[in-house]
Amino acid sequence: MRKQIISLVVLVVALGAAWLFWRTHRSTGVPVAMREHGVQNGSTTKLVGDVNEKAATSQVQPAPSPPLGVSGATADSDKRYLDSVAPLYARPLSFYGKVVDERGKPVEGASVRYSINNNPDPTKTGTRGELRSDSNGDFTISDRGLGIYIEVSKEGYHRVPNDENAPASQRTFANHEKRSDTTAPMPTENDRALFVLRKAGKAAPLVHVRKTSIRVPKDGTPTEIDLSTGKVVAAGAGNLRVEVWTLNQGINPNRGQPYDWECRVSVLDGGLMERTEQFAFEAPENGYRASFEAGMAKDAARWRDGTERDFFVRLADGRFARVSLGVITGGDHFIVFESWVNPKPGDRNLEFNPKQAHAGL
Amino acid sequence: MLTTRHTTEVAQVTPPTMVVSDLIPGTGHTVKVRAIDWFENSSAWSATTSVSTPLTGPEPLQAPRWADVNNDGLKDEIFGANTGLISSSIVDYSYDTVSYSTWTSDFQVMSWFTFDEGLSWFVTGWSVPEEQETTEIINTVLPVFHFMAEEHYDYAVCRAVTDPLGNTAYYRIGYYESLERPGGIQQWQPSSFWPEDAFYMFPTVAARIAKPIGATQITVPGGAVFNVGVGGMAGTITLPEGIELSVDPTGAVAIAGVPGTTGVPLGGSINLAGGIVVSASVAGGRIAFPGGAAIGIGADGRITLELPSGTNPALAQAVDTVGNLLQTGAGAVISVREVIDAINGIFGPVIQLPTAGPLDAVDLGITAGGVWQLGVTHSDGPTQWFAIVQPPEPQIAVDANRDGTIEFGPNDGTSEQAPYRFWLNDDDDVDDDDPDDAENAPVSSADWLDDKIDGIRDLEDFARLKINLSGIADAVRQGQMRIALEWKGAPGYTGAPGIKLWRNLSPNGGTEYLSDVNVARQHLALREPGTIQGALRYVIPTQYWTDVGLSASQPYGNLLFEGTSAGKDQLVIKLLNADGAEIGEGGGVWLELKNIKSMYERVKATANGAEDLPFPYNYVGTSSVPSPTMGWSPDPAGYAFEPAQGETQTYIVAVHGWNQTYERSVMYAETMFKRLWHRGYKGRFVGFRWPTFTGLSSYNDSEYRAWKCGVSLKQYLSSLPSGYTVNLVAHSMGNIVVGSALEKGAAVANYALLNAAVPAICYDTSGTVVQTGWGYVTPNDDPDSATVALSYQGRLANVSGNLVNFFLPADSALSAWEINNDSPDGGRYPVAGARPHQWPEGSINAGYRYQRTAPAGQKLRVVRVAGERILSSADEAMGFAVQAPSLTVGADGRTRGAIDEWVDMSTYGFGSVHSAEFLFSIQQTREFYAELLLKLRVTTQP
Repeated sequence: MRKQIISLVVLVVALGAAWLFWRTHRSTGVPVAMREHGVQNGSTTKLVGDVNEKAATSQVQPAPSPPLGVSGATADSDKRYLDSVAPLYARPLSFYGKVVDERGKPVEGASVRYSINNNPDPTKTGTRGELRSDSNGDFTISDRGLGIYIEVSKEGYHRVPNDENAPASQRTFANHEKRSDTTAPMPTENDRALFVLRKAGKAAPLVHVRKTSIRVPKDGTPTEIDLSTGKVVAAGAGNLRVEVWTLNQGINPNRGQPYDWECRVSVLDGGLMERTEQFAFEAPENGYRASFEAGMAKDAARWRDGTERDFFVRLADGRFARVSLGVITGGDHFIVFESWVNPKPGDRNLEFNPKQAHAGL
Repeated sequence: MLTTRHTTEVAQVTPPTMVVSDLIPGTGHTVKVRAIDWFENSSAWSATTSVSTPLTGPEPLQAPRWADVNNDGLKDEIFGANTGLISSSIVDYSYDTVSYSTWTSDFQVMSWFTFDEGLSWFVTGWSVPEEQETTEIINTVLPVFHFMAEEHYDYAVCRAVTDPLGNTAYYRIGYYESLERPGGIQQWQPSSFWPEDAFYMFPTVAARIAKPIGATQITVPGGAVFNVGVGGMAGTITLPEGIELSVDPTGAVAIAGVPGTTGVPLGGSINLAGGIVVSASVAGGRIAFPGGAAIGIGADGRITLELPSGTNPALAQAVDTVGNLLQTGAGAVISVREVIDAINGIFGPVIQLPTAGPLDAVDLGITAGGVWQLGVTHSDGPTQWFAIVQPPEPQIAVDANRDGTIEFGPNDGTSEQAPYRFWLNDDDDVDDDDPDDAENAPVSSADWLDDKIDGIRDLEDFARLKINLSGIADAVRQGQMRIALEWKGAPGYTGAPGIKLWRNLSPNGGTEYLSDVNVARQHLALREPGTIQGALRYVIPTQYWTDVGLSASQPYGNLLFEGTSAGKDQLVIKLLNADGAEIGEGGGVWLELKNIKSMYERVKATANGAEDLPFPYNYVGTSSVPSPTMGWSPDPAGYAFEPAQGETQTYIVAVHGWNQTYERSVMYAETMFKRLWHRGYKGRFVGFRWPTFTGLSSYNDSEYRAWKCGVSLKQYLSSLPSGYTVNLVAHSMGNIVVGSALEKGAAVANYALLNAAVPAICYDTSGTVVQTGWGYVTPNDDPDSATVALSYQGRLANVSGNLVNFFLPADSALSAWEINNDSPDGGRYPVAGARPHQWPEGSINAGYRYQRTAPAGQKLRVVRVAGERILSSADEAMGFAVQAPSLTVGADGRTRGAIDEWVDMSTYGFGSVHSAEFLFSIQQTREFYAELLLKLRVTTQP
């Protein structure tokens, strides 16, 4: 008992001294941390550690109560953070989805890949998984989390890109009320979220040249490409000719200064036509032009250093192709293109299935 | 005597003709005719006409050029532009006037020289019998030697001679054969050294049809003078430059007039056009060709053929074999088939005999292109020529120019000065599909230490090797020959490089191991790699060649290697026989293996010359917070940056995000560097380190630092050498650092924002990205301009450069950003710790305040028990006090304003994984990195 009394007296005295010390210094205008470090007013302060993370996690904390997140994280503050946000990530999540084709017909057996935002540690990933839609195109996911991202796919179908006004093949959903504009509300069993796949047509055995980039001259010297190989060939031996004129000589590329540039894309003894619909796979029979030209004046309102376009192409020998072409006048000054060529003259089908790719010519 | 018995009517004019056959070849005949009528009245005989039947024998094996150049009635072979059987080393022939006496020997062994004008002359010695002198215009000529099969002999060296009537005869060399020339001169003398020497002499044997006697002087265009002394065995060539080449009667060659040798018959050498070096001394002569081959003439008259260093040993063996066979002499019984079989036995079936049965003749020759040929002649058919082609030596190559294709040629050539650089596999990839466990940083155990591939992520630390065994594929597949790889220890090597070899299971040895998950996974079952370290060579198992279907049409072996120790050397192919004995060396490739940290640069932000920044909320009751001087410093970490040969003048500076330990930020940088490198990027890469905190509750502290460190980044970018295009890539909160630098005027060409943890309203002030449904009241739209100036609103709307937003709509970490951005009271999320940054302190809620109703310029403040302070720094305000009414740029693909382009990363399958570009394997991110390069205006391989 005597020892307990002595301890209590010591504690009271210590607390009193601490209170007096605080009262004495609280209005001096001296930074809190300086006082805590005993640094004299006006001297250089060195309050935190260096960039090494050992220092970041071993900072001297301001009294009296280390606030959440103050002076870098500590194990305690991290725990409090996790405890605080954990309930958010533990919300019950029931997701009801349905996969349909472009006509609204259910798609059975579609792959449904999902990732759930249920890991309170933002540096880690949440639950990820994959399942299949049933005969009605329906699928259900039950878990816990703050949100969920879903994407669907199936062989023989094209995925539909995001569109604010129409269902697509992928979407993010928020499992709370005040979602952002870019997320969708959680669906219900009676009002399932729709995911759309577009049924692919009959693919032709196309020669596919993967996306590739080729440097081109700046002075308009033609670059000819064989669309069936993606290789640059001698003048007269190719079927796509690109000419670029770029007046950026002497311009510091790091200053963002605009400059004049022009380009011309020609199909030798054939023609090309801009392709604007993503799922347009049949080349038109007529309406081709010999060349396409684009450019930017240096004083253009929204100047860019290049352009990217999709084209249907009719080759001199009657073959048809589609080409994604980009002309980039900055940096390495190059074109980037990808092509799909139907090797059968007159066949305008440009629907592609990688498993049925033509071996090339 | 023949008569024609045909009669004709007087009025008929059809000329009577008759063919007489079955005459003896090589015989002469006379013909005369007379006419007999129906009444057997006979006319007188006509005058006699002489005719000869042609000699029989094989036709010339390859049409030589014939002409009677000295008017002696015999056609002589002429060498010159069309010397199909003779070495291309013959430059020209020329006419000149010499005196000769008689035919004593047609052939002489000569060294030859080429003068400036390209003329060739032959220096030799010969004996001159005392015969009558005469003068003729002659050619220097070169014979065509025919190796012919004859009865009793399997071969003989013969020369074709055509008589004045155009008949061709073939004469053995080395056996007495006489031919009476007009004037009774005997043409051929017995010669003991034929034919074996003839074989060796091909490149340098010349022949004359006459021999000079007495002193002769020849002056040729260009001013050179050729003197042949009396007695034959001496001669000189005087060049216009005053250099004199002489041959004494013993055959010794001396050069005078060359500095250091004047007057001293020491011999010497002459450098000819095309890199040919001719040298001679009393010990003999030598002609060295640029490729390393040489022909030597010993003092004993023997000719030697020196093959280039590294010549396929099979060829050398073949030459020896054939040479030995031929050297057995004319008296030996050697079948042609035996020769051919010997060649085929070494090279494989390089000589396909057209039909079975005995051969009549075989010619050995060299084309003008220097290709040895074997001509096979049957009695009933024309000669067929077969090139004896040296099998190309085995080659090894890497994708040195990183265009995605390995070529055996200069495009993918390496050298000591420009080796193929690759990094050691000393990181610590984890064989786990969970991206959270992708790679350990710091490293606990380097990947190369175990004899397995640590997950498909590990494959980014492997590079390709391709071996070309054209010409010996069958022998290797069948185990008759084996292939080993070893370090050569070539001049210029450094360190002690080491690699482990693995199979490349990609189709055709391609890059699918880096791009196709399924192909990559096949590699995980591989074990027992080959080790090449120091003197330890690796013999590729024959089974490997069987497995890859090695054949003449598929002569390639495709391998992967990982670096195990640093150094530079040439990795070469060694050829072994079936017993493992080394029989030669193939091609090589220069490799330089190094710690990856010397292949890219690292720099770090500093404050006050160190790395410290104050916590601003610890300063209350005062008007300001100490502002350290920001800077940067290199961070070599023991590995100074070494620029690569042929680098492009491009920088990509990568800035990491929040919550990164030093080791982890380095790992992220190296992951990005590796993946860009594999896609062909050849410019410089920099990892920029800034002092983020780690720990989940350190976000606001870190953002404050990020804004501060923009100064450091700007300073660093300004220090980069001129002429380089500067590109930036930042991840997550690293985009705050970059935004701060851009705001302060940093100049860059292109900037890729990856998962940018920057409020969209910083760049886009159109209102499109404002989330009105959140109901936030923030400083960003405060009527007080001083308050807005401390907010995010439009802060980066006018930065320059080409900005590309790589966004991920479902990004889980940016979702957590939304929580942190929330207001603790009345916000969307019922959690503490959100913005404004506050915490319980004593009896109050200490921390930052935004009071919209407060006086202008005083709406943002930090309040603590000890006092308070009005905020005047945007860095502090944005770090702790200001909420954003928008999503981040990285979560909202609608962000425009200063953003020029946008890429939805969900198309790469990144889902909601915030750091997928670092945590997913290279196979899963390959298309992303290709697009990243293109958006940075850098070309990429297909």
